[in-house]
Amino acid sequence: MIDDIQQAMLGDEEAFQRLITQQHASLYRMIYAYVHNEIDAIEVFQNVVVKAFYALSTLQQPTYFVTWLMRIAINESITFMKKQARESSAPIEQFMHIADHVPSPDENIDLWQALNELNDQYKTVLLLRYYQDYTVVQIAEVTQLPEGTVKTSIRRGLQQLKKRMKGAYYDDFQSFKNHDE
Amino acid sequence: MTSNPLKTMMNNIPVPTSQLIEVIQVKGMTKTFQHESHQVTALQDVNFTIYQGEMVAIMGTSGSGKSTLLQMIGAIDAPTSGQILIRGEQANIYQEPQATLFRRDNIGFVFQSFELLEDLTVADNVAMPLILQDMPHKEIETRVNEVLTQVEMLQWRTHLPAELSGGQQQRVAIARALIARPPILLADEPTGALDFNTTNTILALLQTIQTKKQQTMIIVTHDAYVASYADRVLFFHDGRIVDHYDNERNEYDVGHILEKFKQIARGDV
Ligand SMILES: Nc1ncnc2c1ncn2[C@@H]1O[C@H](COP(=O)(O)OP(=O)(O)OP(=O)(O)O)[C@@H](O)[C@H]1O
Ligand SMILES: [Mg+2]
Repeated sequence: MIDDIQQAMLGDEEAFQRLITQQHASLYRMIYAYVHNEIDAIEVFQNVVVKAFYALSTLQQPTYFVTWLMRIAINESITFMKKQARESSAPIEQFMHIADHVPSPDENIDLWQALNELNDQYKTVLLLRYYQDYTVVQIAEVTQLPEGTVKTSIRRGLQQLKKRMKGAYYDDFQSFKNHDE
Repeated sequence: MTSNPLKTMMNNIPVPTSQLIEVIQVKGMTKTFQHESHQVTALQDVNFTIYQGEMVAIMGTSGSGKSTLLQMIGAIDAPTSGQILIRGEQANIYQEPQATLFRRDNIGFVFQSFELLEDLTVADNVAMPLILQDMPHKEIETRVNEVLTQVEMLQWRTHLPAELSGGQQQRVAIARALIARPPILLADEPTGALDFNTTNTILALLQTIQTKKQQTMIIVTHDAYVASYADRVLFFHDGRIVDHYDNERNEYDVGHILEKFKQIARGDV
């Protein structure tokens, strides 16, 4: 993979495509977690790919590629949502309810709703920690927050999530919590 | 890594395989063969696009050009006219040495008759594409074990093909096709020689590979049941695409696919 990153940094489009292919499902799902519908998620995904390709030469070190790409995806998603909110006369809360697909509704609807009620910072650190399995250091890289702030955000985000879940999944969250705090 | 409710939920978000990355674009592809007295047009102005992670089935009557199409995509033979774009780029894949390199880096082939080398063990058959690439032995061994595990044939690694059932041989052939991690898997009647139950296990395997690895694949078949596993079906007749069917939109309805296929075979198109 490092080979492909180095090649891609030199402008090799095929190497770049291979890298995107490897990340595509996890990137797409992250984007979806912000924009909540397939059409927008595809659009943002495509913007991310194009942006990343042209910005690749600014990448400092190949080893940062994955977190760097993730940062672009999260920034693009949040920017996209803000722009949508600005352009629409509807209040922001309404966006929460136009989600045309809740992943596996029966089991997950409460968690999905709770996650989406969090502010962007909490939501982002929780997704990176518990979906992407990133370390605190990596999360700090992606979010450009100090590590201490990342740790606090994970803890507070989890607390808020639990509160909103009103005890559902309580047992799961026991193991879900702190495997590196 | 440990699973948790958030990860489970996120992994349940369906990833649209289409519309993201165009892997293969076939444009205006025509292929004619010169027989002694006449010309046969095997493919006539064929156009389509296949996206990353899609499983596309090609159905058509005998002689409709299905195998010819796979040979063009697999750079085994050159079209008479038309072009093929791979990941958006025009691929100059019909001259040596590009053709060999293209096949090596991009294509895995699976055939109806398995085509395993009978004197070689399962592991050696599977290793062959990497041996030809001069990959170091240690790495080859790791990759062979990985891919044989994936097709659930690891415990057969020292056996010869003749000691395996048809379904097992096809699993080995699939492992061989995938070991070099080609972005495109081409399968010509992969279940044509298998009974119903074995067909099911092979289809389940292909589906797992598709979803887990986002593997792009084209499967030629004349079995509507096999085609119902694909995301989309393209129907060929006399070298042309005469119809298509979107399984994702139509709930993978075997009866409907069969009906379309029968109409096409009757010539009602
Ligand atoms: N190498 C060749 N030389 C001459 N003609 C050929 C060659 N390959 C294919 N053809 C002709 O092209 C046409 C399409 O053949 P093709 O093998 O692609 O059909 P098919 O759809 O795969 O059929 P089947 O379902 O029987 O496998 C046929 O008329 C065939 O005779
Ligand atoms: Mg054929």
